[in-house]
Amino acid sequence: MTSTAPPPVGDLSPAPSPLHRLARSAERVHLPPQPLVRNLIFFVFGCAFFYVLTVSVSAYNDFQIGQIALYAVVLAGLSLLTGLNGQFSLGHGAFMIIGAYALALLQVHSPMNLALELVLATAVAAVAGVVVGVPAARLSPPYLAGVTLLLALGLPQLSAQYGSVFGGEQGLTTTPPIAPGSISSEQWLAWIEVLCALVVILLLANLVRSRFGRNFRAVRDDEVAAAVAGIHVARTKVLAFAISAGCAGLGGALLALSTGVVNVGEFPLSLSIALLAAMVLGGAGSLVGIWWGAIALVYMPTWSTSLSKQLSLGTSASAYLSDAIFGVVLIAVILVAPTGIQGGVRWLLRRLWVAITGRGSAGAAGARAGPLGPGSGAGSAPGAGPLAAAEVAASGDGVPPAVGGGPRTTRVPDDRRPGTGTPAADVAETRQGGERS
Amino acid sequence: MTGTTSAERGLVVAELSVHFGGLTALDEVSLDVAPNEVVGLIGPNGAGKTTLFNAITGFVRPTHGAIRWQGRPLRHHRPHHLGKLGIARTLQGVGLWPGLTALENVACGAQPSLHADLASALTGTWRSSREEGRVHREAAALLAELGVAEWAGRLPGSLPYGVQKRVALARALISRPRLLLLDEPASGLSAADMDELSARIRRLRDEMAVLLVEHHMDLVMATCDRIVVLNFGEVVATGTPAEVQASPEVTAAYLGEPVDVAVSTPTELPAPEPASAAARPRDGAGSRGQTTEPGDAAN
Repeated sequence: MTSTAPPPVGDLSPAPSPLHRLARSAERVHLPPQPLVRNLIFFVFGCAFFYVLTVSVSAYNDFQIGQIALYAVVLAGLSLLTGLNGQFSLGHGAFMIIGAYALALLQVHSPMNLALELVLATAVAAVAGVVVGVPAARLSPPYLAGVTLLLALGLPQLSAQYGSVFGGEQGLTTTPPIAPGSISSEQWLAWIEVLCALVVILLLANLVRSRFGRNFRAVRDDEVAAAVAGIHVARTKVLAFAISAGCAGLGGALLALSTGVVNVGEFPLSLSIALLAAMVLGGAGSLVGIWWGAIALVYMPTWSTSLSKQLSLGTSASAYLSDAIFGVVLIAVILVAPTGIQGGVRWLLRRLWVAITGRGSAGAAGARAGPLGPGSGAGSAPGAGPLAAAEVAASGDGVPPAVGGGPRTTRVPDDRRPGTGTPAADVAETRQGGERS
Repeated sequence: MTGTTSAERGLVVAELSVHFGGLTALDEVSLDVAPNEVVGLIGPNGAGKTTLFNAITGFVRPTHGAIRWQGRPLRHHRPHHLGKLGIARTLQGVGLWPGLTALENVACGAQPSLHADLASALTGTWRSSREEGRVHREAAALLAELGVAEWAGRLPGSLPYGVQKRVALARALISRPRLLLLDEPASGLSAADMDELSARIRRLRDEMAVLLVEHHMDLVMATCDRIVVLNFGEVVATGTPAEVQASPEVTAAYLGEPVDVAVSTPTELPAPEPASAAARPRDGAGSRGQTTEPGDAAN
């Protein structure tokens, strides 16, 4: 945050009195700006961008932009859950199902204003998130992944079991929103979906900058320290889970709206895994990176179909090619670039910034070492700690100077760094001391 | 011992026992910390110091005994209640969140004074943003007071160890506790840092009670009003630094028999060398404080 203006070092001493010095140095500490204004600017910019985009492309592309937006909603929640709170879910498809069916049932039984329907569908999924999140808060990541995986496997069975309510194999139909005036229905739908995505991202960007976002990260980094500081660890985890489930529910409801039909066949288990892979691909904890993930989710089937044609694969092989690619991408990203695409973009922008301004080269070098540096001490969640740390500072923007904690050079202290003195050396030293005495 | 009236307003631990299965970690430990008093808790590794801290902070349920804080019994409290109770604790090592900047680390310690609701946090409106502004200013002021203001925007992993320790202290202090539990605050600090820490703790005494676990004897002796010595889960001695230093039982229990006279070292007492050697690795960094224990043993 302080990389644009060098931190005030060294000129504390000539101040006349301790009190004066205190007041002055407090002034000079760069406080994070209030986020709402900045986030609103990005929101308006996003609205304008998507408006221009949707009016200038074909109806089919409008549909795909809408799909990207609805997956961005789901990924935003997932990114918050994993990147900020360190929880893993392999079952967010299940919350999409809940949101989708909630919307369809509402439309069948008591149709109302679409906005209200979407809010209610979100709320239903969020409540389901609380129900799952309460036991999940007591589980460590691998077990949580297992439980959510079971949820994604088991929940679709309910629709077959209670066919009279959920429409069985056929599922339920939804009423598409009626476009006003001469606007095409695809465009109108895309606008609704994009607006939902931008609102969700705006809200989450605000949340990340609030005490809740800070608590999410504190719980992710060290639960014991979080509890000592007065954070209710379990409640914080449940809240993160509920928010992320609500996002998935809204995404599912939007998907139901755009396809006009809800059935469990639309939400296979592979969707849940693809969601996780797309989130990691974009960059966990990044509210910008989710767009990369959403684009990958929407276009991956198209790409894999054309790829399997080129490779002249059989139909059964090509059906699973998309899943296979996601699996490979997930592993590759975690191994090679744990900060995902957005991490790479940020790195490039930072290099560009250095090249243009000729400043902060040390900061760029430090930040490049970032994923490895703090990562080694950041705990077990693969990649979640360090990359989210860098990202949160940049939540909602990709502007290089705002990223990270200023010049992250390795100004290593001469002798007092923990771990530099090995136990063996210490023992030897103590022995010496003992002999002296 | 201090008078009961002032002790009643502070922390009272009465005949506290903690058993882990068959292991007795604490055996009828009693101590009290009066308001505006600095009490040192010392003892060899495994004596139960951290277990006592964990019992006071609600991480461990005592098997028997009672803990009273400001006259009220603490029975079913959990760690996250500490803020509201006015108790703050630092952790062994530093325990900072690696993904939060130093400033955020400190701001996050201000939980009891943070009340913004979820709706205002989501919308980023006045109630949340004003509170965030306030807590960030408070955190920045506190970092400045501790002389580490210029590190505010950095992640803990990139900070010198001494700075990390101060950030950890600031995180505990920002909630304005009335009881501060310090778990090895001087481990890994340089001699100069340690002197400053000692002076700081003496100043903190004006506003709060301090219970301090520390291995560096010169810091403990210089800082504490009273010292409680634990060994094998039992209180071996209590008294002023001078009394504790003069007590032969304490020297024997805590530091072991002097090497040159220990022809047949009693088996249950740790000899000075292994005891201090075992204490070192946990301190992380070797430092000039290293020689204090053997030095004291010679005393």
